[in-house]
Amino acid sequence: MEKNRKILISILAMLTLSVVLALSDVGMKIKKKNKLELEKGIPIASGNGIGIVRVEGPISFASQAGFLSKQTGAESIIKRLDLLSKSPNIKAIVVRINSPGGTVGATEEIYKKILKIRKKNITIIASVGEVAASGGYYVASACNEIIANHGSITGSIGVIAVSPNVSKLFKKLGITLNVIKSGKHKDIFSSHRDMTKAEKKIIQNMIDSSYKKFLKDVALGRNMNQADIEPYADGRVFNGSKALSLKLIDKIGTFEEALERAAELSSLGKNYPIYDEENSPFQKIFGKLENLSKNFQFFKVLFDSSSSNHLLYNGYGN
Amino acid sequence: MLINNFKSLKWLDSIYFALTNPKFLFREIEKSGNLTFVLSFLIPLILSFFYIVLFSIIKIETSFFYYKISYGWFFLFILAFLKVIIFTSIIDSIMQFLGSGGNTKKTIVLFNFALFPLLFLLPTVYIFTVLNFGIGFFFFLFFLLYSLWSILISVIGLSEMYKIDGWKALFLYVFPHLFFGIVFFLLSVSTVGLIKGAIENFFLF
Repeated sequence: MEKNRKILISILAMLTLSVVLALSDVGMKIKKKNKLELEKGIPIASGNGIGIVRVEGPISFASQAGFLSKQTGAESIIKRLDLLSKSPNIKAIVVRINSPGGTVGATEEIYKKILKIRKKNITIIASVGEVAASGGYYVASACNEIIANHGSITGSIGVIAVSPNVSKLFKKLGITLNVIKSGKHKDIFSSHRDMTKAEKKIIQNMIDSSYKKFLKDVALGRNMNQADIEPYADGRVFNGSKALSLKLIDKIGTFEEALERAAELSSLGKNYPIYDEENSPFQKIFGKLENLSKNFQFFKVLFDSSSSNHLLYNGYGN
Repeated sequence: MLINNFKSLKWLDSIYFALTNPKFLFREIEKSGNLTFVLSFLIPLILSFFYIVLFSIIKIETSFFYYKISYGWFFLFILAFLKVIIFTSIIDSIMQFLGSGGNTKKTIVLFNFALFPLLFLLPTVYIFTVLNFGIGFFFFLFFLLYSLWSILISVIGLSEMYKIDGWKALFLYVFPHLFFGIVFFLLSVSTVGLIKGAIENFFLF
């Protein structure tokens, strides 16, 4: 019985310890929240600063919040941009881009949102990390300035649609598909037959139209003539220094320099708060794993024959 | 005397039996006096405090926490106190109606001790809040598990106390909950109906 009593004492001590820890945790969270609110100017209008928006991985609407990671994807990026633009304390935004591109619709929406914020006289600087190709560059072009590293990969202005054709493999395996369709082009991206000339023309027209829009938007965002961009807008990628010589970016620099430039353009001085998205360490680990699986999903979409709607601004397209 | 009692750690036996063998818990309660009765209310008092902290760690807390931990704690304890008193009174009345002797004080002590497993909810859920992993899911899962454990202690204790089988004891335990559930539901429906009727009549005028 004495032993059991001692075990119980330990349990009671554990309970006391847990409540003490939980209480201090709550106290710290309240303190942190109050500080954040103060910095964001929610209760008191003070502390003008720079907001950070991160565009990471393939851009699409599909990448929503996972069970373990924070919300990603175009909608969450737009939501964050909206939140920052509405805060009276945000004088500049740095869009940190690490993206090979994405779907046409998703990138267009982010582009338009950034342009809209620019009209509010909020400085937006794009900082390119490893890559801002195709859709990633489309998003960057909407910003006031683009700052990239010497080794950053950018450019890849173009549109791609990929549809695998496994009809020969099907024939070898003796697989045939019965297709009942409402219109002759309903299975336009079918993987078990060759695309007809008429179908190729339909897709090509769509791609040409998206490409023209891409080019026009880049020219508008960069304040350049379409004719100056067009010679290089054939899908090729550039490193930072080449992109600078072609005026596709404004400066070679790091993320830190992008922050400094944003502060300079918005007259923030030297000491300013930076409002970055916060992740718990657990979210960071599992978020990375989930992002990896999302990348696989993205490429799966590329080769998924059942999907018939996947025009992409993709820097890794072949 | 009190200090000697405290030092002997015998007061821990009731908690030990509550967690390991509810049958022995009732035998412990039977031997206990008024002091145990009063001290048993420490468990719902501490549990109310734990609940406030628990609800604060599973969501982003505001400065309102300081009101919750003071006024809220007191209010929650009063609710728990009233619940135990009312439910015990109902059970006692039923047993007296059926010819068994009443045992209000000891039933209250039993119900208070039966709440002990729910204290584990805070440290368990706290682990998941630190990991930031499935907090809502594990909160409900463990709340369910610890509640079942608590119900089991109450039912076994009631069965020992009134010398009835487990099913009857379970019915005895569930009845006040069911009764109050139905009363609460009817009251809510009639209140909503009353308000709706009043609004409709108001607009007719």
